[in-house]
This record gives sequence, structure tokens and C-alpha cells, in this order.
Amino acid sequence: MSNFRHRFWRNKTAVISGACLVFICVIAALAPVIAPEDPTRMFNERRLEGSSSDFWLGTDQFGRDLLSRVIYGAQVSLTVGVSSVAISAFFGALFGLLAGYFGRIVDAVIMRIMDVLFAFPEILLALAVVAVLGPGTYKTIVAIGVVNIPVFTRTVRGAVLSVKNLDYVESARAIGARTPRILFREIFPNVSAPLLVQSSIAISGAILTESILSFLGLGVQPPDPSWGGMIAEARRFMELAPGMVLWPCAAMTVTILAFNLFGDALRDILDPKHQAGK
Amino acid sequence: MTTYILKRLLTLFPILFGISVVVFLILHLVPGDPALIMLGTDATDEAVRALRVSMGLDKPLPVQYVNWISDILRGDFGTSIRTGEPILPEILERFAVTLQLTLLAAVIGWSLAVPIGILSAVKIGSALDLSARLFALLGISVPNFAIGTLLLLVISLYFGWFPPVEFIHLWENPAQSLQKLILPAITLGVVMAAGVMRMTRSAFLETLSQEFIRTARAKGNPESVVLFGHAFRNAAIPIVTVMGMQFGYLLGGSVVVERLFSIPGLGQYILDGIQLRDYPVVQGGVLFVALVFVLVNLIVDLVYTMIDPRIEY
Repeated sequence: MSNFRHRFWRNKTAVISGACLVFICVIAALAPVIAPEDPTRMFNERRLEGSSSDFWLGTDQFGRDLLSRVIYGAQVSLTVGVSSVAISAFFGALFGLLAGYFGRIVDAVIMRIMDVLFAFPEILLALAVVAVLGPGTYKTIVAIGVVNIPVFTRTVRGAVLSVKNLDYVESARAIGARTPRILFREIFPNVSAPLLVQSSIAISGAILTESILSFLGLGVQPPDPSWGGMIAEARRFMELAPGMVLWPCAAMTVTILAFNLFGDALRDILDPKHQAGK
Repeated sequence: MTTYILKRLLTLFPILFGISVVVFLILHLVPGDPALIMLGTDATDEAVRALRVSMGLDKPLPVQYVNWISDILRGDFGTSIRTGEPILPEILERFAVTLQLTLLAAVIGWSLAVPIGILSAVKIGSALDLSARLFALLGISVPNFAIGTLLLLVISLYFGWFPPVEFIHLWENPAQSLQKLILPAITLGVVMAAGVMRMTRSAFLETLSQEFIRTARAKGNPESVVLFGHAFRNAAIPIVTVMGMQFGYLLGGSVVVERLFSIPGLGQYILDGIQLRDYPVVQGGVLFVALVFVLVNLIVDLVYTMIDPRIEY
């Protein structure tokens, strides 16, 4: 563990992107405290304004404070991102552990099902789930969660396969440890590194997908603020108030970029073999 | 080689079956009564009952599946609830539109990405390398609809130009058609370029560090021969892998870009189907796209075996 900590702090990308992530999470968590206004409150006389001392980022077509909406948008995006990946990681790890450890029929059935899900482009699958469940924040979390299960299953299964036959697992079996114990005490800790890396990258993908769904009107529903939804609304007023597009764009980019970079850096730290092309 | 193709085709069948089941379930997993949802809450009871009978929704599930799949295999993708028109002809027409968009995006994206990726690897650490890597990083982090919206904003604000409203096929009037297609193609292409550029750079870096390259240079070959005669074929595999994976992105991403730039493609069709609860349209569209995706992946796999004769399955 101390080896990990040592390598982590030496990796500039990890430290900087990690700090950004902490910053973004703090802002999202403290949204009700930090945001100057209620994000749905309309100031009818102050519509489509640029930056001012009252509204640091300006206002939208309903006179709502853009800064507050961007801050609450962070809360929405992070909630959806983290929750959906939690679902994917949980079920993906479960299926991956089962498939990798028990092999044969269990493996064949699970991986065939995952292959079918992989046969769909990701956004299309998310759209299909949304078509079934309908729009809305919680349904979006479920949709994105389901869509990402195959990736986690594959990652965890690969990791399980690589440690399954190692000596210490054999010795655990030899002293009579029962299967669940072997699974969770011997195998899982060695699967946690790829799981962590995958999670960080998956969160950036989940935020991306959520913003696309919200942009299309199928994700987070108005008047709840969401970066994708804000950009969709901003299209009609782009020339009058470019800030309506620019600020949510900037917020989204920084967040997704931070998660991507953090995931890449984690991968470099945890798996020194993966150094290609640095 | 032929045995490989045959084996590969055999593995297709369970996947195709699985895809058909998933798509079939789209209509049947909807919470509530699908017929009522499709017609809307102010539909009469008789209308709902009639729809249920005409779509065979009163029959047991396996029977419905068999009927549905045998229709599909005969080319009958059903009729749209909203328009009453058969779905497959509409899908094919709109797919032609989407295809123009996605091919243009791929051409733009890849033809820029590969040379820049190679240059970036060859001149590692240079200003070109750093700015290319920054661009690529942004390309995979900024959502495509944001890129598209920003493009529209910049072009309309600073150049006062708007894409035309009407869509014209590329073969009817290339000049006018391109006006409509260029911005959405660039939007899709940028994201693809980012991915391919990164992989090209990393694949070339890895290949160029290998022993056989040193040998090739020691033999006195000009750098261009080293790069394109020796390095390229070896680096090509991961690059082609990424390109193959991007078809999935193209098929999905076109949904958003078509909505953003008002292009009457397959993505728009599916989206309209979702928003209007026209489930047969959603099923037909999703099935078609999934089939195309499977086909494309198969072709990509076959391309691998042509590039690298060492691969055997």
C-alpha cells in the first residue's frame, strides 16, 4: 500500500487530476451552500444577461442564474455518474467473479450474454433502455448502469483468470477454505486494481452519456439543471447569450477530462507494464 | 483462412439470436400496457384492444417472438404506429443518409488523424506532438454535441454562415449537400480523430522502439521506407482495432449529431420513435443498427487476418 501511495504522489497527472476531482466533488456536494441562487428561480427582468456582479456567469432565457445552474449541474452529473458506475461495478464484478472463477458453463452463459450486449453500440443500448423505462434522472442511472455491466464483467473476469491458478489460491484451497471465502478474501483484492481504474474511466463515460441523454431530452428532465440539458436549451439563444453554451461546456469538459486523466494515471501507477506511448 | 471465416460466421448465429431477443424485449419490458402507451392515454378502449389484436399482443410471448422473427426474416419490420407506413423502407432510406454522414466523418477524421499521429510519434516532444496530444485529449473529453454546438456558434457568430435547412443526397448535388453535411461530419470526425490519433501515436512509438526497426535503419533505408514499409504494417493492427471500435461510436453518435443539425437520418428516426412511443419503429431501428454493427465487426476481423497473416483462430 505504501508503495502505491509513493507512486501516486510521484505521478503529476494523478495528483493534479485527483485534486481537480476532489474540488469538483466538494463543489457538487456543497451545491446548496455555495450556489448563490436557487437554480430554478427565474428573475424575469434579468433574462439573457452576460456576466454581472449579481450573476457571475450571466442568466439564461428564463432569467435563472447560470453559475448556480452549473454548480447544481455538477451535483446531478456526479450523482448520475457515480451511482450508475456503482451499479455497473457491483454487478459487473459479481458476474466477472462468477464467470472467471467457476469457468465452463457458468462462464459460457455469462459471457455469451455479455457478447450480445457488446453487440450494440453503447448509446444505442442506453437509448433502448430509456425507450423501455422512460426519461428521468433515476431511470437514466439505471440505463447507464445496465449498459456498462459488460465492460466491468469482462475486466473482472480477466483479472480473476490471471490469478485463479496462482499458488496462494491453491494453498487457501488446500487448507480447506470454502469457495466464498476464497472468492472474497484471496481473489477479489487482486481484482480491485483494474476495477478501480475501470471505474474512473467509466465515470467519465457515464457523465458523457448522461449529458447526451439530457441533451436529447431523455435524461434529467427540466427544470432540474443538467449540463447537457442546459446546452440543449441554449441552442436557440446561442448568439444572444453565448455564455449559456460556453459555461456548461467548460464545466463538462473539465470534469470528464479530470476523470479520464485520473483513470489513465491510476492505470500507469497500478500496472507498470502498461507504459506504452507515454 | 476459409475455415476461420466459416467459424466466425457460425459464432454469429447465437449473437444474432441474442440481439433479436433483446430487441424483441424492448416492447415487452415496458412497464404497463404497451398498446395503451403507444396510443396515448386519451385513446378509446376499442382502439387499444384493436391494436393489441393486430400486433398479436394477446398471444403468449414465445408465439409472439416466433411471429415477429419470421416477419423480420421475410423483410417485414412492421408498420409505424404514428404514420402507418412500413418501417423497413423508411429505415433503408434514412440509413442512406446516415451512411453519407458517417462515411464523410470517417474520411475526415481518419485522414487527418493517422498522418498527425505518425508525425507526433516521429517528432516526439515537439510543439506539434504536444498540441496534437492536447487536441486528442479534448476530443475524447468534450461530448460531441458540445463540439457541434460550439462549431455552430463560432461559425454563425464570426462568419455569419448557417448550414442549409434542406438535406440533399451527396450524389444529387455534392456542393450543396456538403454544405449541410460538413459541420456534422467534422463534429463526429473530431472525436474519431482524437481516438485514432492517440492510438496511431502510441502504436508507432511502440513499433519504432523495436529491434527490427533498428536493423532496417542500419541497412541504410531512407526513413520513409522504414516508416511505411516496415513500421506501418506492424503498427496497423491496433490502429485498425480502434477504427473498428469507432463504428459503434459512429452509429451511436450520429443520433445526437443528426438531432443537432436536423439531418433526416436513422438516428433521428429512432429518436422520434422513442419520444413518440412508437415502439415498432424503435425495435426496427435498433435491430437494423445492431445488425450493421455486427456485420462491420465481422469485416474488421477479416481485415485483421489480411493485415497480419500470423493471426490464426
